[in-house]
Amino acid sequence: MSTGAALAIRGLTKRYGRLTAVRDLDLDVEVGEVFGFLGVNGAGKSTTIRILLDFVRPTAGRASILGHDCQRAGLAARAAVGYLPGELGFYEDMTGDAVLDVTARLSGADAVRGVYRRELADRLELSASDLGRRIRDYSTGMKRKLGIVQAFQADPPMLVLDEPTEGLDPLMQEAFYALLADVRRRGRTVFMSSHVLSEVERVCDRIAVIRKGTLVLLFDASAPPPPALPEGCELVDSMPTEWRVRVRGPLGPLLARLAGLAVRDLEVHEVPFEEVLRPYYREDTT
Amino acid sequence: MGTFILLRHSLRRARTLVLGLALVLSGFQLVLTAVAASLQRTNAFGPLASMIPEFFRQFVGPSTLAMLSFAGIVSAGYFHPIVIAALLALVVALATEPAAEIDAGFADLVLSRPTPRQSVVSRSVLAIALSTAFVLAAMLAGTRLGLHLLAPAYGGAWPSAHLLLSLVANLGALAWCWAGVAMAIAARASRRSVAGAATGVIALAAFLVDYVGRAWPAAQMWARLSPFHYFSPLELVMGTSLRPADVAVLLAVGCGGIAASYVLFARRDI
Repeated sequence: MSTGAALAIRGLTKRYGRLTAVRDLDLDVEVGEVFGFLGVNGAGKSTTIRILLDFVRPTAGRASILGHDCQRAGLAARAAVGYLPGELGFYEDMTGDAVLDVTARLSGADAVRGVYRRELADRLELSASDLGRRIRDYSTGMKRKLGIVQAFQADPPMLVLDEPTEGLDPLMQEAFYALLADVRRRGRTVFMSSHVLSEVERVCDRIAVIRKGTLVLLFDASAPPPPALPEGCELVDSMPTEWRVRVRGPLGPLLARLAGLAVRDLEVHEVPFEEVLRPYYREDTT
Repeated sequence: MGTFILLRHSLRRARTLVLGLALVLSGFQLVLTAVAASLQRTNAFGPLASMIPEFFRQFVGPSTLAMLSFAGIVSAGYFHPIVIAALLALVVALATEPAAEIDAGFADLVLSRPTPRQSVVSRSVLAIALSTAFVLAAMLAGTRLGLHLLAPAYGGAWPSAHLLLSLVANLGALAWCWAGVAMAIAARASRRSVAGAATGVIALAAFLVDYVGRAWPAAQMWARLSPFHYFSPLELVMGTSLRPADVAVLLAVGCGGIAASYVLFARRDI
């Protein structure tokens, strides 16, 4: 099943006795795309991901990653994937470094560049002393950061991320989004599940919504280019369906500019308290 | 490649257990040698044998007399129930590692990479073989060291190297057999505790079936179903040679269990 897509799913079905976890799912994810897979808990997101990684065998249908059938050519498919599980299963008596070493060797030692691994750890604020500690001493957020490093460290062509920001504080979520933006710039494909709409809306090019194992919605969330902004306005963030603009001075010129666009909604906020606090939240702030 | 990466990881995690068990069991061999030397020095074997009531001697057969000898005491460490239980606990712990990894979620990290599922099973097979061989070698070294250090004067009474190797081979085959059973169970289980407990219950039942079969002629036929039926160390101490057919049965059960574990683990959902 070679379609040229990074990920191709055709008629995928998984039944557990009477329960149908995934029902006749069809999906294509293009190379270089960040694809959001949205659904409430139990919707079938994790089952679909586990089929892609050949942990679970489908009842019917097929899936392929970069042209490799996930079941028949599972090894080749998984060689192209970095995976972040929803629930991280680290042995508590292992150190962070030991986890990264074992997973790197299993990915093929050549595939992992030490420099890139260190860069990832730095960006997620995992210090060398953190990595030297045993997992039992890690907080939930640190475990999640370690999970992200192990998934990204081989710099694979495709990343499969199950609830990647679960347990991360707002600053680390930002750092993760920046990582995601970097890998997208380098042409990597990302398939991430989440149950947080605002998160996938912010970072994904397309979003699929799954409910009771069935695909109920698939839409393009890529952002149109932002308009030229009047003086005193600064584009803070450009999301697929949302722009955030900081305005110093009167709102009038901005509203006049927006008047010619198909604006669905407009919210005006004072500067969020979090942004005021952010400079003081970091350890290195004096 | 993945097999050896996982093997290194597993042995590193199990090293305390393996080294600790090897140390304790080799130490036990030394102590048994000291006990045997002490009894030999005081010529206590004869009086001890005469203290055993006649009905009990008839019940347990000539093995009692064989046990009440220098060679018998020195060899006891290779079939003492606690030693057997400890060795089987080690192989069951190693054999159930695939279930433990699924239970902990570590299997997700391993199998999301280009690691074939059979590598996980092969790793456990190698870990069991290496760890069991190491512990048995440590026991043998403990016995030899004890004989040379603590009983050099009773060289004529020493158990022969052939006897010791036969006992080691018999115990090793028994461990391999139960490793196979544990691996087959663990290949379908999602929790190590369930796989370990199930293997333990089966081993206990098999031990009792063999025990009853040895004592009660009517149950002798059923005893053949128990792997312990093919483990006869007392007969070895009495001078009988190790029966290749018995060893073959134990090894075959072990290999059958391992073959089943490859198939079951490859087919299961994780």
